[in-house]
Amino acid sequence: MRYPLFLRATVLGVALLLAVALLSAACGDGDDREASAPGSATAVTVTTPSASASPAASVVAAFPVSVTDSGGTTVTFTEAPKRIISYSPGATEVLFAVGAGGQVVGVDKFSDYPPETSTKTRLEYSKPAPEPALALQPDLVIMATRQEGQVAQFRALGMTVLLLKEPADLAAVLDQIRTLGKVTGHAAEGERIAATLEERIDAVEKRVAGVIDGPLVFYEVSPELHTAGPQTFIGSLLATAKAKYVAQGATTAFPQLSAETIISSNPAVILLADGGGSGSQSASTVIARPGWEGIDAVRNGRVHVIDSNLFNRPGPRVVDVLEQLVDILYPDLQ
Amino acid sequence: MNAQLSFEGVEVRLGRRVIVSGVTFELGEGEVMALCGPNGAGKSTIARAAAGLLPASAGSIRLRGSALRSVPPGDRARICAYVAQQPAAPPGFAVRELVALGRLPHLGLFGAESEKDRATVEQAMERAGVSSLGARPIGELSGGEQQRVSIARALAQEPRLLILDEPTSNLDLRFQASILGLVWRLSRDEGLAALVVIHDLSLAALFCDRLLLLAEGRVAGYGPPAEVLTAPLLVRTYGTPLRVLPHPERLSPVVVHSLAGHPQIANQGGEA
Amino acid sequence: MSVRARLVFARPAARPAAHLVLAAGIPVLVAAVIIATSVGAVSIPQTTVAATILRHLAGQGGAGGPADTIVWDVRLPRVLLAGMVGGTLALSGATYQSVFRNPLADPYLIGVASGAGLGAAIAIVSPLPLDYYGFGYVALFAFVGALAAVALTYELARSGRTVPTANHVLAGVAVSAAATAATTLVMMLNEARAFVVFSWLYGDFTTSSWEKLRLASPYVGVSWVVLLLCTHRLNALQLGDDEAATLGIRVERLKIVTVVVASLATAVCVALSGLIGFVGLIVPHACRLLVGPDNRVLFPVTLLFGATFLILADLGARMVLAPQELPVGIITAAAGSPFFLILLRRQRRGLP
Repeated sequence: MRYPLFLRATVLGVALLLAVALLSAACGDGDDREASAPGSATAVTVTTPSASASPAASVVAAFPVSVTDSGGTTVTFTEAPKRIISYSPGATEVLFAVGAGGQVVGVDKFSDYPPETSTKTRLEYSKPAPEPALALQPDLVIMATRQEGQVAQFRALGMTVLLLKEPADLAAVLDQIRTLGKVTGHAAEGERIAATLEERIDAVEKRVAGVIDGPLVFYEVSPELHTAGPQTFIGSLLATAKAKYVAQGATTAFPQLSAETIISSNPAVILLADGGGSGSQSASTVIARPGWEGIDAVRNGRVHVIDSNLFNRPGPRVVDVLEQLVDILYPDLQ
Repeated sequence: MNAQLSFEGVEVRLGRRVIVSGVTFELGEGEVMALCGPNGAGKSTIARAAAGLLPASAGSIRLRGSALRSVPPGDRARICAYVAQQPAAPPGFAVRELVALGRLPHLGLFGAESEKDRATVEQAMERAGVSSLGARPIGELSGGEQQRVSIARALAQEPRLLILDEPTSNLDLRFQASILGLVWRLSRDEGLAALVVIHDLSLAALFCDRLLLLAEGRVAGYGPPAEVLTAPLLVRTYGTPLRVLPHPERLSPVVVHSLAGHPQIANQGGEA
Repeated sequence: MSVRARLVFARPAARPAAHLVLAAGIPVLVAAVIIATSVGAVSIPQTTVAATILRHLAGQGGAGGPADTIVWDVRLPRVLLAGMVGGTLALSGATYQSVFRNPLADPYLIGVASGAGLGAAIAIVSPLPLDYYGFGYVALFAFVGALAAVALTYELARSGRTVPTANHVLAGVAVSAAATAATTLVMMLNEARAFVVFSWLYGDFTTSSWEKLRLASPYVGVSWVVLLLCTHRLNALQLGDDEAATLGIRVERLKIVTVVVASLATAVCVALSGLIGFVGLIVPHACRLLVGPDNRVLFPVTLLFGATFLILADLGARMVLAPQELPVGIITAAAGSPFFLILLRRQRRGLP
């Protein structure tokens, strides 16, 4: 068969597309990874005017506040927003924690904590329609990673939007608390909460300071044996707790492992995120799996069901999670 | 006399296989030429080449003096109409709609039909004997009726040259006669030139001016039917015993099977 | 005359009613636009809707306020885009059904859908900025992907200068399968964005805008005009390639022009609103059962009814579980199938 130019060009084009696909797979999660680098300049920066000159007058002018969001856009607030819509469950928790709950008018349907959120108007989470949002006449809309593609749309329709992607590590959580505190006019409260959390994190780090070889953990996300990779928030928590985990070398966020890999790596602790309220797995179902009886974690009864909502939502309760984790991993440490 | 269609040393291939070669004939205004021969001789191939559907790999085909290849399809469709062996019966179409498609070469950009177009369609349907079937869906008709609808469509094109590939194969005696009679009349009254592929030699002899006998892709005989339809040539061409008799009403050969090759039957029936 | 014969005679003779159907199509479409713009997750009084639209049309700009933004910047472009996409998908489907002489052909037959899906998936998982609002990278990649798939299908099916129909369909199936597999692979290697890809593939009009309409109209408009001009020639094509050629039609050229134009417009629509199934298959077929196979009437009717259908389907998608939005593809399937089955049964009773 002859190979006319057209065919060659098309084949080349297709090959190019596939190459892009594979390349993107290699660096596709790039932006998540950037944000997760601990201690790096987080995506969100806040500037406030410096305190007034006289040290006696210790009141800091709270506004105007400028925020540069995860998308690089800078938004300036001249006063605290009073009609906030939050499409991010984590951000919702922070807003209520810093005392801005009264300024919130709408939340997405997954924002279920604290209980006061049930009094707010419920909105969609994935691909939210602009209409219900417009009807609430918001002066601030907070969007997270899932709604990223619509930030431009909401802005074009006249709404003020901050794209605050989910924090990928503890430092980013504290940043978000401070930021939202400042933006909503509750800077002091935000600072206080962040400081308290920092203390508790320090306490945890001291607790595990002496640990040289943390236990090997398998964090199960699904019964099909998906687990969390190092770039995820969970990954960063496990790292803070000095645990080693089975998916340590993974390049994707939620890789799927084979039973052989898990059995042969012989984890000391198994954490089930697909049990309790989030699924059907439990210590007994794990024991029943063929070949799993020999794993250290199973033999020593260290298979724990954890609340995956809590573990997956980078908000103020995250330190509760961290402390819980350390309790599970190091039952003997104080 | 104007040659509507002329073939000169035409060779037609399908892929690398030569189907017909060395075909030469001329069809003038008001002439009917029958194209006959055994199965696989290449009759349909010549018909399709004449309609412009197959290119000649050697020799030349001329339509009204111009090389067929160089005539734009639109012009060609206004001159030449072609009816294939198998009638087309796209589901859902009514008879009148299909016949009306024959007016396509004459319609303007938007495909709007005028009164004249509609009248031509009616006339074509009447001539082909399908007027009463106008509203029927084509899928309901018998093979013969569908054949006549295709012929009506060809007539609606108002062609100067009509190419019919086995138009009578599905028709009963009455419609065989009426269609070929129609073609004959149109050739005499309106100068229509017609190339008709036909199996029935006797029928061909009655209605055509000239007959081209084709065998294995080559011309075995060409001329008035009485000259071409001779027993020795026919027996050689068809490879079966045949006899040629004179028609009771005209000087036209009638070809019948001979019993020479079938002794069992010969012993059964009565003697002539 | 038997009942059956009467039914049989009635149908083709009832074709003059086809022109009535065509004439009714426009007011029906206008009514659908009005209804769809007046109804939404947020209830706005009819009078306000009408006043807002009239004010904008008169060039006086907006009155400000959420109602104005909702009606003029959110609902109206959405309804118009749904209409444009619905009309295009239906018209493309009718075109493919004519060219391929196959009543089961739909606009995604020769690779548009799968190519667009792969392109969009690549764009979504790449570091390129994610923006659905205008004609961003996702739409661009989807468009290019669709055209690449169509070109590849054509090239694979071609033998010499002609494209045998059966080969074209088979090549389309092969290319679609390959592209779909590649899309799945891309999604699996990028789970973080996999759901985003998945939800793009569903198809929806949530991010409709005037800009999208402006960008799409030239391609779509040209496509509509060209296809409407080819209707009678496509009629002749139903007789078969040979017969059509002897009626003076340049068969290969007709096939290429109509397929390319229909594919282009379909690719633009898919790039802007994702993959919406059923419209391109069901609407032309249903219209054919109503008004017959003459494309001169069928194509305009299909265009109007396709637009109306998708506008109403999108309305359903918005309202059935308000304020949550369903993917519009679910509505088109749910509404389309029973309606079509009813039509089919009526049709079957009329034939021997």
